[in-house]
Amino acid sequence: MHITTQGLLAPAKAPLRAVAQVLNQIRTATKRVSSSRTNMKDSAGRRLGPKKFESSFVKPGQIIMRQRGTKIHPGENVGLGKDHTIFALEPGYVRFYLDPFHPLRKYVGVALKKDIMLPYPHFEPRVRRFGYNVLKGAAAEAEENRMSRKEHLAQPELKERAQKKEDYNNSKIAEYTSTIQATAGDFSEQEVALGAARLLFISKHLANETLTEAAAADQATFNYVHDAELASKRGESSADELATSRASYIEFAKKFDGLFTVDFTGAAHARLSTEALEAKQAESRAKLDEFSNVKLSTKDLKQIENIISQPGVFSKADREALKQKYIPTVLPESVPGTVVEVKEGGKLPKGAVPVRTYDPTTRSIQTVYRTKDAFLSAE
Amino acid sequence: MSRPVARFLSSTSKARGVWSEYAARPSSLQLVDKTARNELFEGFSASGPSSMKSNNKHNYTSPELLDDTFKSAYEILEQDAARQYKFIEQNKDKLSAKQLEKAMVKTEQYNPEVMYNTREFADCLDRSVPVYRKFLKEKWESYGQMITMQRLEQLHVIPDTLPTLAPETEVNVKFGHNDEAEFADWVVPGTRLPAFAVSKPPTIEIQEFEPVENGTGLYTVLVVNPDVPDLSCNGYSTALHYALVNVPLDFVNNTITPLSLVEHPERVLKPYMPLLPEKNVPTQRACLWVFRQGHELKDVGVSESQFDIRAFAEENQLHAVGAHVWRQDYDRSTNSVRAEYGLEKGRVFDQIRNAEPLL
Repeated sequence: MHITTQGLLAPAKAPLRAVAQVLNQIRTATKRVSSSRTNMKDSAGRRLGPKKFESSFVKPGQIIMRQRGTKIHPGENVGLGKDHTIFALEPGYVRFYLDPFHPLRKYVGVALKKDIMLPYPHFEPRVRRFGYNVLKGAAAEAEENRMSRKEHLAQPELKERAQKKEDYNNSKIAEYTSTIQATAGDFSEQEVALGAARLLFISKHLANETLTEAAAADQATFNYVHDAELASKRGESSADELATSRASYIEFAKKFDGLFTVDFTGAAHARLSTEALEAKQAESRAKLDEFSNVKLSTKDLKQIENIISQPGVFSKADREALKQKYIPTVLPESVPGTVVEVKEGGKLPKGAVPVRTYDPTTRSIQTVYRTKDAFLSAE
Repeated sequence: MSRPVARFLSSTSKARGVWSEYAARPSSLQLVDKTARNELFEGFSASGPSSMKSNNKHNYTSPELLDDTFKSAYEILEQDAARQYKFIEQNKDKLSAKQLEKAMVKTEQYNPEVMYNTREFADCLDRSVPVYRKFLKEKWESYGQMITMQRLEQLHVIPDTLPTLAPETEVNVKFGHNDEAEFADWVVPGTRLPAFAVSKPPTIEIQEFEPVENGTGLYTVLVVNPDVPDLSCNGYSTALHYALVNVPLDFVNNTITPLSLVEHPERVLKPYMPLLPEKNVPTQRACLWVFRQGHELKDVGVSESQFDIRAFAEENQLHAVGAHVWRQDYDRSTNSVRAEYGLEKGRVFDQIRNAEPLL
C-alpha cells in the first residue's frame, strides 16, 4: 500500500506516511470473553487477626490468632495449624511476648497461671500441667489391661521368646547341676541350685561381654543379697534372718567361686589355679604342635578343635589365634605331600589345583600345584 | 624369600633413650601386645607382621625408606620428650597440678607405643597415666559428652532439675542384674527402659580426667524423677529415688558397684527405689546427677517426695560435674516390680487429658 500526496503537503513526505499507516491500521476482532483482571482483585476479608487478647483465658483448642504466614510465632503451650492459625494447647492466659533468643520475632503463648509471664526464665524449671484423671473400679482395670494393637500383635512372639529362654535356662541349670554334683559332693541340694543359678548368670554376662567374670560374680552375690533385703522389707523375714542369710550366701559364694567357674561358651568347669592353667595351656599347645606341618584328616581337625575348645583353658582371642594357626584355610607349602610336581608341558594330574602366588623377591608370579587336601575350608 | 628385618633399635641401640627407660616411667606406657612391640623396634619375622590379618602377609614389605624415616622421627621426638622430662624435673615444685599434668602429657603424647596402645587397646588403658587420660577425654568429648548433653537438653533434664551443666566427668550407667544383652550393657543416655531392667541399683562409672584443685575426692550421686504427678495442683513434683554421699573416687577406682555399697552402707543416704510409672502417665525421666563434694557430708536429711535438688546442692556445697538420664513408661513388668518392693498396685489414669487448669 502506497499513498502519494501533492501540493502543500508534498515536502513532508516521510512523516505523513507514518500517519497514514496509523489511519489505515486494522483492528481485528479480539473480544476478551472473560472479565478483566482488574475486577478480580477484591475478595471478601479473611477475618484475620488476633481472636484472643493479652491475659484473656483460653481453653485447649481455642483459636488465638488467624494469620497469613507467621506474623506471630507460636510460643509456650500453643500449636500452629496448617494455615498458621495459632491455637491453645493448655488452659491458661494468653501472653504476647518477645523472646531474647529470637529478637526479630513476636510470640504468643499461654501462661498456665495468671501471675506467670512469658517467656519463662531460662534456667528455671518449666511449669507443666499434668491433666489426667484417676480412674476407679472396673474402668481402671479395663484401662490397665488395654493393649495397643502393636502390643497385642506381639504377644505370641513374646510368649515364644520367654518359653525359649526358660527352656535354655532349664537345660543349662540341669547341666551345671550335674557338673557340680559330679565334682564335689559336700554342697547341699539348695546350695547346688544356688551355684547352678550363679554359673548361669555369670555365663550369660561372659557370652554377652557385658561384665567381666569377677564383676559378674559380684553382681550375682548382690542380686541374692538385694532380693533377701526386699523380702525382709516386705515382712517375709526378720532382720536376723536377713543378716544370717546374707552372711551365709557370701560365704557360700566365696567357697563356690573357688571351686567352679564357667567360660564364655557357657561350659562349666573346675577352677584352675594360675600355675595349673599355665601347665594345661602348655600341655595343650604341645599337643597341638603335633599337628603342625602334617596333612590333616577330618579326625585330626576334630581333635584340634577339641583341644582348643577345652572349657576354661584358652581365652576367646587365644582360641581364634590357635584356630587360625592350626586350622588354616590352606595348608602351607612346607607340609609334605601337598605340592604336586608338574613338568613343563606335562599333563596336569587328576585332583591337582593350580595356585598362583606372587613372589616379591623375584617380582614374578609363580604357579604351584597343590593337592586337594591342602585346602581345609573346602572339606 | 629374604628381606631386611633388622630395625634401628635391634640389640645394640635399644634401652638408650628416655622412652626405653622404665625405672621412673610406668610400665603401662609399654605397648600391651609384646609381639607387636618387638616387631615395632626389631622388625617382623619372615611370616609377616602379626598385626596384619591378611592370608598373604608373608609377602608384605614395608614401603621404601619407611624404617629410616621412622628411626629419625623417633629420635627427634624422643629428644623432645627428654627435654620435657628435664623441664619437669627442674620445675617440679613450681608447677601446679594442672600444669604438671599438661607437661606430663607432652612427654609421652607422640610416643609410638603410647599411640599404638590408645588406638588398639583403648578399653584397658591405665587411667593413672596423664597421657592416657588426655586421650580418653578427647574420645569422650568427641562422642559421649555430646550425646549426653544433647539428651540432657532435649529431654529438658536441664533446667527441670538443675539449671545447667558444664560436664567435667564421664558418667556411665549399667544395670548389671540383667542377663540379657539388650539391657545389661551401658545405657545410652535417654533410652527408655522397662521396669524389670531397672529393678536393682545400677553400676555407675564416674571418670575424672584432670586433677581437681582442692578436691576432697568425695562424690555425691542423686537420682531424681521430676515427673511425679502432683494431683493437688494438677502439676508435677520431684521425687528422690537414690542418694549416695561421701563416695571416694579417683582416676583408677572410678566405679560404684552395688556390692561395694553393701560393704559400705554408710554411703547410702537413700536406698535405691526404681521409677515405677503408673498407667497412662507421660514418660518419666530418671535424672542421675554426679556432684563433687566441697566437704564430707554429715547428718544430711532428705525429703523423698517434694525433693528440691537445687536447694540440696546449694546447702551441701555440691558442684555438679556429670549427669545421665534414662526414661521409663508403664509396662507389663511394672506391677511385679512394685510387688517386689512391697508397694501397692499403681493408680490408673484416663488415657485422655482433661482441660482443668493448673492450680
